Amino acid sequence: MKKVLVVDDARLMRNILRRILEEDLECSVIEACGGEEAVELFKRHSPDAVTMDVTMENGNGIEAARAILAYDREASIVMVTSTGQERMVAEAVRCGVKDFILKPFTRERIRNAVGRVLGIGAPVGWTMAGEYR
Amino acid sequence: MELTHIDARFITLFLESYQEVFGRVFDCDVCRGTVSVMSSQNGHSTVAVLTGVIGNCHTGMVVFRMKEETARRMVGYLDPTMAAFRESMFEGLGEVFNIVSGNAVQHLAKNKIDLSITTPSVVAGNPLALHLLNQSAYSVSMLSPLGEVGIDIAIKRL
Repeated sequence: MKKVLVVDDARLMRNILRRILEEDLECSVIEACGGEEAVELFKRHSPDAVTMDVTMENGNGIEAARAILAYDREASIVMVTSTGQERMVAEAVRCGVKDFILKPFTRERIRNAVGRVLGIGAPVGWTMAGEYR
Repeated sequence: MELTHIDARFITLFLESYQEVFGRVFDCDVCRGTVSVMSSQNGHSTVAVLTGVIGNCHTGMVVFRMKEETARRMVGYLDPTMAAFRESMFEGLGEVFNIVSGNAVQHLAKNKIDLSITTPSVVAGNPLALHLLNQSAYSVSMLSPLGEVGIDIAIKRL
């Protein structure tokens, strides 16, 4: 079973992401509500993927993503962001994050983005073997 | 408060954004009522979400009013576990309107109106009487299958 670390300061968002990841991708989920806690939990649990909110009250998501990537260059991080934070998203991509999701997001978008970095999904319209469906 | 041209444009853009984001978050159609101007709100609402707004040219407050059942339905649609208890339901409601207001602010920025919003505060009471910064507010109702939400926008130019 794949393990995903969900990082968001809002409990509602963490719960929504947890439900989608558990029900649709059959992942086990661990949660952090700030950047520092996220880095700590990443080191302790080595999750297969991380969803990281960009702006949090207790810790910048970009800084946390950077710290995680400094610890593990291969970490699969998906940033969760609001519209208008394009500059921050570009910075995150330059740091090495794998994808980003805009809020408000759809269930399908979460499934596709996280599934893809976990290697258990494929871009919409393509099979895992690379054939168009 | 004077009803200037820029304020009317602000209201229109804000409401358009609210309508669009609300529809996307809750996957439903949202109908908008007519806009009126009032100095205080003493309707049937029992829950309100208050958001401060500040910018280079504007300052004020936006209030979302609704019945508690509507608030519970909205939070329950997204996360039934948080709707089960009153305290967590209010916490979830604040986050819902944080997303809505955040998107509205970005929508306004694209139209050259730069604003920041404060973290929403949720208040409840029965009856609930609100007085907005001793100034008049634009008030409008939004109707969706989840219930009615009143929006009071008390913004003035600096």
